[in-house]
Amino acid sequence: MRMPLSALVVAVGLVAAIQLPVQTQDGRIPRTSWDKKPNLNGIWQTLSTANWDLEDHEGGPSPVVVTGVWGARLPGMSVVEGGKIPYKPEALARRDQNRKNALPGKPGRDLNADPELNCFLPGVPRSTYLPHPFQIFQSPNRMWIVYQFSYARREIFMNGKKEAPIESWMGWSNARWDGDTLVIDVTGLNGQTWFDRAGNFATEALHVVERYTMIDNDHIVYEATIEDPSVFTRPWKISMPLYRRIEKNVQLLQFRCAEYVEQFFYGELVSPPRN
Amino acid sequence: MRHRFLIAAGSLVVVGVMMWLADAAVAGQAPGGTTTFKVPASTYAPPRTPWGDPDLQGVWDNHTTVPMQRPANLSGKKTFTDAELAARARTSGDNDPLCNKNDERCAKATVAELDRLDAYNGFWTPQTFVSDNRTALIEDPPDGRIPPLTPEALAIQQAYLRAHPATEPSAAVIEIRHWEDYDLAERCIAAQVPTTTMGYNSAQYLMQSPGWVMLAHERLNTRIIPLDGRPHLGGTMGGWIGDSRGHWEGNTLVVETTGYTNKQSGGSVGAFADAGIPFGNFHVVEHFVPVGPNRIHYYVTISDPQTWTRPWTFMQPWEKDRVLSYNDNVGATKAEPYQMYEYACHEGNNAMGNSLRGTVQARQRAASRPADAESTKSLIGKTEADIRAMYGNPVTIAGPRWQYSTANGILQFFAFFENGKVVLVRPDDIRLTEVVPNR
Amino acid sequence: MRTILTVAGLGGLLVLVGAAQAVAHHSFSAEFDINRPIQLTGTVTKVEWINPHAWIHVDVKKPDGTIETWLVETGTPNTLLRRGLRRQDLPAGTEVKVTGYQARDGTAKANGTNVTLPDGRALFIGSTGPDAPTK
Repeated sequence: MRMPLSALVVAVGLVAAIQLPVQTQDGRIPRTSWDKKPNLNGIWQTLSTANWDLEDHEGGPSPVVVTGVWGARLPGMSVVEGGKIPYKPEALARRDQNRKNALPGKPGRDLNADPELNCFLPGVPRSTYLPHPFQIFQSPNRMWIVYQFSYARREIFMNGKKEAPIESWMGWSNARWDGDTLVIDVTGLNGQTWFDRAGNFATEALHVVERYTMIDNDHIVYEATIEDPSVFTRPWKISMPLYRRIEKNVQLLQFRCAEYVEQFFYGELVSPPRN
Repeated sequence: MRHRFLIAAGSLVVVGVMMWLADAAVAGQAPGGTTTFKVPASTYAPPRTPWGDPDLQGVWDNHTTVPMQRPANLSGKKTFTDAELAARARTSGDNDPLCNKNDERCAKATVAELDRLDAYNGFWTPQTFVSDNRTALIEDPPDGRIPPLTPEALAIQQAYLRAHPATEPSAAVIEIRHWEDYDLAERCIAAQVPTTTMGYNSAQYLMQSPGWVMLAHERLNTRIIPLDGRPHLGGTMGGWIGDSRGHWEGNTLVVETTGYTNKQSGGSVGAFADAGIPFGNFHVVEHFVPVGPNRIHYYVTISDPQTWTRPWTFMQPWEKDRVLSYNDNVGATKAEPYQMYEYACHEGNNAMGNSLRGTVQARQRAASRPADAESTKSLIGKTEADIRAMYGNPVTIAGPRWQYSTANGILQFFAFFENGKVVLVRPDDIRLTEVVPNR
Repeated sequence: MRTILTVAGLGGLLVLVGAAQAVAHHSFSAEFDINRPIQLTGTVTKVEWINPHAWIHVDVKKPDGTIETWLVETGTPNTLLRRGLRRQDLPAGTEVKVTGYQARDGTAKANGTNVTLPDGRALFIGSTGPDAPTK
């Protein structure tokens, strides 16, 4: 008899959390010439499968059978400290509904589907752990993070104090240095993004605090504390390494997925040419 | 064949600057023609970044009314004098559509001027422009006109316009029946690179880091430009916005872009190349020439011997951290240097679905319209007295346009008069009995 | 010396530049129907601050007494933000008059060629309310 996935997860939940080194190895970190802070410039990418599911997840067949192994679900260990996301019971029901709606399986734009499936902006922190590289640009008092996925990008306000003037998909990022850790405080998220393909979500009340700690030239430890009192019983945290893309001549490429979903969204609405 | 580059459907035209591309029959020049034009060197030395590159970082805007091509009636005239500029600039009374104030302009409006699907009112568009006294953006050829298309390119363009009639701006009814009838910006894929003015949301944040320049355009595009001399990607890996490589020549940033995809596109907002011109063979060189602490002269040289008979160059001045202002009775409630905001275009793109569904519905409605004799179409040719007899005095008169309400209270009925007779009605396919008499 | 040009009252999105459709990107005639002019008065229930176009939700009372919700397409919210305007500046409950054209798909959507307060002033007058200074 198949165990429901949720039961399986409970059974292994507390076991294998990912552990990350947090001690900086100071001599090996590149530092900027202008303020001696860690120099995060470069192209980075995670190796985690958190985009499938932040919590422990087994591999599995593709939900679209004919894609065979191309669409199969990858296995991965939870990136959540403590293993599970602390949902309020009523919010968990919505998460489970999201799971059912994630892949509509029929043509047409469906706003209940996984936003990633629709090529919608992934928000924070999901942009970090998509299977796409991103590039950090850092200069005196300025920072941008540009993601390969769609047109996702964030202006990071160094020592920023302004409040988000409006909600947005990628939020409003105010950053400061805490020693050698870059802390980015993200508010103004619009509640329409998910954390992963498994339907994990939050609302407009979401508050994310990211920490980027460089531990050597090619590794950053990324942590994000998630807070949304309307969904979760308490704040919770994810963490994973960011790996520098060290290939010579590596660069972000184009993944303008709005084009890739046109047939999906609009195929049924096309009219024949006149005459 | 004339190609009209009108302002998009529904907008007013400013100052008689309606651009007509010169007859695109091929001129006598052989393809691959050359030019001796040289981009002027920088006249200003910007401060440097800590790693020694000229520092051009900031939010740059290019808002302008200078047209790409020199109008025929200004042929030979490269710049306006200060007096001429002052005369051309008229302070705006308001941003409302033509007949909102029912004044002189409205009384003299033509039927065509009123029968137009306007965009939203001018509240949305900033009214201060980057200072520029030129009559055209094109610097080379010296006549300020885009060079002729080659015969091959013309044929490709004509075939494209036949296949995508919706993008022809002069079309009376614009039908989007397939998503490719919309241009790439409307599809929320990209804006043409490089871009020209967009009217709003047109700024770019120029960011630098050691070995890189990044240009975040408010609308859609982020360009990432390595400066380390690495080779181009090759093929069409540059996709919609091309693959760029940059280097410094003195204080000037020079960027070369190739590797565009050949996918056709409509003219697109901020386009420098028109509908139906494939990008695949483009070679674009941009020069970002600092001329002042807050001013760059941005030159773009486009070469494609398969498309144009010779390379051509346009220039737009850019200004940094501009404070925008608006010319209406609202004013700016808060003036601050340009801050870019997120432009989540695809996420909010309801227009595409609406347009495609609109075509489906409109075709169905056309098939089931009432017979002409029973519909408002039969009012064409009637006199003012006839209309009054049927419906009473109009609820509103705006120049040549009489307005009545209809049964649902929301849909309006317009009858347009010329020489005392109805020449046009909107809608023309509802029953006569649906128009509500105004007694 | 910097010359600031102010340009004549331009009734639409129009500033014209560039070889092709310079400014007002899409063909409004593709989404809205020139054969369906509308005029409505109603109460704002919400504003979707989304790009490329913000949508104002307006509850309209029809002659037969029923309420119909119309979605009015306007310009980009980025303009609003740059003008210092915020969500609370168009609160739910505000009465507006809209002239424009109905969506070609026949649904209760329209483009807001002109969106005004009952006294005729253009929409969005800032948080100072009805006594906002005029220029």
